[in-house]
Amino acid sequence: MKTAFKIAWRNLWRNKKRSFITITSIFMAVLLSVFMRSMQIGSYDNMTKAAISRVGYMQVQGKGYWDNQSLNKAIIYSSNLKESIGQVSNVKSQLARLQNFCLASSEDKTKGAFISGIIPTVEDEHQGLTKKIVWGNYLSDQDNGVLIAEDLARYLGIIKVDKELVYSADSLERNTLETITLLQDTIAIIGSGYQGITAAAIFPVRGILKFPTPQENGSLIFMTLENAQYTFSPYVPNLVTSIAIDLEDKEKMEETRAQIQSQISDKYDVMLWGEMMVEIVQGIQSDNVSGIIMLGILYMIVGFGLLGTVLMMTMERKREMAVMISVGLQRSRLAIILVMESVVLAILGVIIGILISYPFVFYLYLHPIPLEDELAEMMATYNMEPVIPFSMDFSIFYNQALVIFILALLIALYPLVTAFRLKLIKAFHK
Amino acid sequence: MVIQISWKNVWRNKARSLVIMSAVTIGLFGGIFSFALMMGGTVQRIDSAIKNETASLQLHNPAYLEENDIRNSIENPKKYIQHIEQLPEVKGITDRLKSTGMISTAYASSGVVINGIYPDKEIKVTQLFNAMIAGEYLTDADQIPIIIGKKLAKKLNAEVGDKLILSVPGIEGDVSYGAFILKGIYNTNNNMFDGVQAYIKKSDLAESIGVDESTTSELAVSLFDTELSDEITASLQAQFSNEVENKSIVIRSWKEIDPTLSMMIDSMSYFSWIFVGIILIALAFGIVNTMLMVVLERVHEIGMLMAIGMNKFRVFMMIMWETFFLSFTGGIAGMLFSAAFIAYFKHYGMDFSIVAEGMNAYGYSAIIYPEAPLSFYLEVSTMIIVTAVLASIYPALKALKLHPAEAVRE
Repeated sequence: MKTAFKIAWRNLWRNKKRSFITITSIFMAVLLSVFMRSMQIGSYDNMTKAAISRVGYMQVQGKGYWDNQSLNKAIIYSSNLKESIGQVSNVKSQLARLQNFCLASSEDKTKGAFISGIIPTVEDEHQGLTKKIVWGNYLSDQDNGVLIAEDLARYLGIIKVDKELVYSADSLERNTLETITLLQDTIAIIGSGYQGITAAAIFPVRGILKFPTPQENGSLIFMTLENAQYTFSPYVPNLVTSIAIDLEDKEKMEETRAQIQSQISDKYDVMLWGEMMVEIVQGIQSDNVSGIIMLGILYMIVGFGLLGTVLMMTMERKREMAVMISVGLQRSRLAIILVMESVVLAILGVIIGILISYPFVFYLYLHPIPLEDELAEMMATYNMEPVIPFSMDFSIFYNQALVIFILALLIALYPLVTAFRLKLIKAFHK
Repeated sequence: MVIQISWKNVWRNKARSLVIMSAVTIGLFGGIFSFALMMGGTVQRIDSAIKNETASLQLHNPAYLEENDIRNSIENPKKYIQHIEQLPEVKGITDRLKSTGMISTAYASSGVVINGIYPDKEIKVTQLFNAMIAGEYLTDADQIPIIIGKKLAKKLNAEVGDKLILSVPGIEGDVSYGAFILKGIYNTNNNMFDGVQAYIKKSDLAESIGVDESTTSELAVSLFDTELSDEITASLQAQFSNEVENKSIVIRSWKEIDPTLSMMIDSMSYFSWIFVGIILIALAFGIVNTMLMVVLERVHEIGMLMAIGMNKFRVFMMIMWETFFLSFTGGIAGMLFSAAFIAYFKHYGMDFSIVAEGMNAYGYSAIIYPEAPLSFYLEVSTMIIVTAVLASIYPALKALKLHPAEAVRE
């Protein structure tokens, strides 16, 4: 066995050119498939991030709230419930929210709006709401005012937006500068509250937020949780529609869910983000189907490329093999030598492939490819960053390297079969 | 002469040639077919958007686009209707009254866009009546009917025959409430549309808001041939140039109404070309390496050819022609395969219903009929053949570097 390996090793070094070509084929296959998969997984991560920023990793809700988002399914956020959830070690923070759909009115206009009662400081850490402020200030924890999404505020005549084209010093870049002027400083909210009571209140406007999706930008209003509770449920205190949970370890979602559920009663649902954002999960799945098909096509192309190389290599070596068999080397031992050569080449190719693709993908991970104007806008309407992101998940490197390694070994069957079926006389005559 | 030798060389080692040809065939097939699938999906999405959502073109008061307010209605809509109605290209025109509001059942409530329509005119413009999955489309004879999308019906837990409460902002800034009977539920495969659009009779909406029935926030026009949308839009803009200039009307084709639709095609081709690029690189490497091996194997033979007086240019061309034949044959096969598959699935459709909801979330239908324009076949094929030939330059140069005297002795 040792001798066989020695011969295989020497064979590889004897014809460096040939070995080099085969290794190149393998490492290019790894590089290309890692590149492609990393781009796919990166875009799913982008979609996932968009979903999680909206609903959190998981939420505790009243039973059946998600399917029927009615205030009547709201729950009481008692200190008991808070403690029970807090006992689970993986829970980093709890974000209590009271959300309700109602009508927002200014002096002479009315429009449907989605009200979120939040704890301003905690929610900002999670969603980065301060970054979205385009006018005014963010809410303080004891604030009695509201934040309104830009389009909604404009529609209601609360603000006026003047757009101006601004040219940079070298007049190559053009930007639209928006100036916001406040026209009215209050907003009225009318809707139905907890258990059908009528809710109506007037709030001072503290700030204007700009959201990327037209849907959010035209409907969201934020106020403090206490304010919302007082407006929609003055008689039942501590009412919330959901408690979003931020996690220490993001990977342990399922376990944490089970732990939380066991701490609290069956009156509550613990929903994972994927169960709430079913459409995004399925969007990823449908995209993944086409992604895997494309990956399959790529495997076939690199596979045939590699097969072509190995085929020619074997062809070239037929005479050499014939000589070895004629001088008494058993065909099975020749086969072992050939397999060893292939394994060594495949291992080298795959390792070089990972070593080269790692920094390559890492660079793209740090500097994702930006998308141009129109495509960027379209991504924004789906609440995603306007870039082609890449993923650095190690399993991508591992999986692609493994697939290519197996592919390379399968292709190595060809020289193996040749060793057994080689016709000596014919090979000599070549 | 060189060409003949190259052609014979191709068939001398059938296994090797078939391998390269297969790689080219699969590359071409993969590139074209996946493009055709995405293209088919996008075209279907656009067709369905025009059919159910935007119609071919729409007329508004420009102020309405800034603020979807009931007060920004079209001045004297009759003038436009009468002119557009009699154009031979026009299939139908309908006037709508639109408002945003809230819809509720005892179970849940949600924001909606309420379209007040004339059912008999509407069916000539949009084809929602074809997309009904429960109950029926509106008719003039019904009392306080409403139809909503599947997504909204699910959210409200509403079934045909249920009573829905609409609250609409009135003209005076007050809010008026009204009860409507759910007459039917539609499904357009676009959840973003199905979740927010509700249809009631125009007279009912006008009464709720407190305006005259002739108040029109939107005129929607459908054409017999959607391709003419831009042309007709331009000619209407010329016809009503006075009104356009003094800002009492704005006429837009579907491309302007929903710019994301045409962007979809851009983004789709952008990602397709990335994929084609990866395919090309993979192919190029396969071909470079295989041809390098071919040159290595034939060192003796090439040396002999050179020794008996074949000049370097001819040796170079011999290798190049061989690669060209390999990729060309593979290219033709790939095109034929793609064309056959696309033709088959264009007729029967490819079913992706396992992941239907995800596709519907982005407005795509679950059954996709792939299609690719002829130009795309030509582009991809040309690119693949050019890549193949470029990839053969390096091996051909290697062949040139051989010294006849040494090579013959190998």
